[in-house]
Amino acid sequence: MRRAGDRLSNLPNPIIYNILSLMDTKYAVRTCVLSKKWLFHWRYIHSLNFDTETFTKVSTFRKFVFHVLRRRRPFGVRRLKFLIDYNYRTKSRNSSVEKKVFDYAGSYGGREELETNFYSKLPESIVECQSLKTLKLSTYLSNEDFQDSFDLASLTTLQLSETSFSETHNNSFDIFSTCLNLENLILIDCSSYGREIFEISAPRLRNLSISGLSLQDSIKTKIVISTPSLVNLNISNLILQGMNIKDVVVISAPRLKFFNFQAKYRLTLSIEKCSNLEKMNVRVFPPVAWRETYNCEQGYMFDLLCITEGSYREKSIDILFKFSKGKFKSYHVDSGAETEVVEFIKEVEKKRLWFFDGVTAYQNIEAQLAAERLISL
Amino acid sequence: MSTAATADASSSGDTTEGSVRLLTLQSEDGEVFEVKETIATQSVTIKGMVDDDCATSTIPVCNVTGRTLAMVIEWWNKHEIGAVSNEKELKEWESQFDTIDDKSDRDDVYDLLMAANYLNIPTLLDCCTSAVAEAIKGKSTDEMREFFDIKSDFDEKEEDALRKENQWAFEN
Repeated sequence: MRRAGDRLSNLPNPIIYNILSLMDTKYAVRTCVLSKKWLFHWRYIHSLNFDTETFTKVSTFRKFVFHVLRRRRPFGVRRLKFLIDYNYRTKSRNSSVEKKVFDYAGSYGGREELETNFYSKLPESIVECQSLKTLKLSTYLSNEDFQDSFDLASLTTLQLSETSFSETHNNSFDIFSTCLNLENLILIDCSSYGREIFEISAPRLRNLSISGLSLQDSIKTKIVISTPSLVNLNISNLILQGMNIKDVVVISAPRLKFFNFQAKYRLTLSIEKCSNLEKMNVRVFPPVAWRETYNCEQGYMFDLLCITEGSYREKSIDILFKFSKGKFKSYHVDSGAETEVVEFIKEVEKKRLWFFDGVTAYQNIEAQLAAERLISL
Repeated sequence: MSTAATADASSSGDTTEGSVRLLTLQSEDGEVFEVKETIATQSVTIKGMVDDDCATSTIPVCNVTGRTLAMVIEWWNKHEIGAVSNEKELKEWESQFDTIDDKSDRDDVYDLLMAANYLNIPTLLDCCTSAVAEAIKGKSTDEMREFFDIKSDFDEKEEDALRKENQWAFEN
């Protein structure tokens, strides 16, 4: 039944428009010379993807953008991606392109997705968009900007890169509290200033990924993740102020199933009310200079795990510490068919394995007990 | 009957209990598949038929061959809620559709696109359109024509004029 030849050109037009909407608009426009069939296809793209990275000259980028806006069929822009690199910002004195693009996209309704690193205030037509579901920003924003500007209640996916959350009058202000429909939150290299508690409590949040978050200008810091619907949680690269035992990450998520945690520094991980947790991977790899510190490994063990409440049915817990050159500790809990728990601590360099009666140890997996056991080693 | 459908029916164990309804789908070339209603309703088209009580007899799936329909059913099975334990595993499974460098992969993706379009399966449509988009990206015009077997019907003058009109898209 295979049809030979040019099957791409024979796909229904809406599928071709979809395909062309997924790529950088520059490549979509290039298809106009393929054959007569392709002449006008790009003009029906429902999404615009502009990125200065695909241009070597600023002037070409500007001309290209204007060309596209003039020639595209006038209807709603579903997704708008507008990325400008640093060089462009310094070279471009006026922001006429940005304004043109955002005004164009804002003049039609139905926009669902916006991704930009636009660095000054976004036009109202964009931020007042009720239909916006996905927002990806890598730009400086203060709390007030953020909460005042966006209608966060309609968002389901929010990705913030290199965003600073500025000081507020309130010490534990939860910036995401108005994100009532948020399901996916991704924070990349963000920083928060002058608050002791950084809280995330969006009621519908299912997936949370924090890679790089620094909490600054506060004596003690605490990250509180208190999310009733959370299923997947990934945390890596936290940079907390004190790098001491007072830095705490509290997780309270009754539906949490998968949890990955990577840290460089010593801190306390407190897991509360996570009765559905199935898999937990913890990796602690301190910087080399720290690994040689006296009692370092005990310190990590002390602080790391503090499971404070409820019954736990983790199918596997895997904890790995790297505490001196070529040496690490692995702590593994596995529940088999009869929920028997086996736990072992091994030091690879010395090729020693330690087995415990897992069940008791497991039930009392509190910081104190783990620490005592380590000392007795 | 295809292997995918057989495996589905025998592993589910629901067929005798009658708690899950089975739908009968017939491909363009006459192959018949029995699929759980809960799975087949990932197709917006089929869901509409079920909601309107039009799915009581065999549902003809026009323009879709048995071979393609078996692939669609495999897609449904993987995307049924709870079938795959985590997103990562599902993404890994989906990645088999990512590259269409082989002619046969390309043909599969076109077949799946047509099926996903007819049956209205958003997840499958998204996956296949992005595979094609990835293949178009960054290719020169000649590379694209060769890869997708597109014959140009422009003469040299016309093509030059077009390149000039859209010159900014062709600069690097």
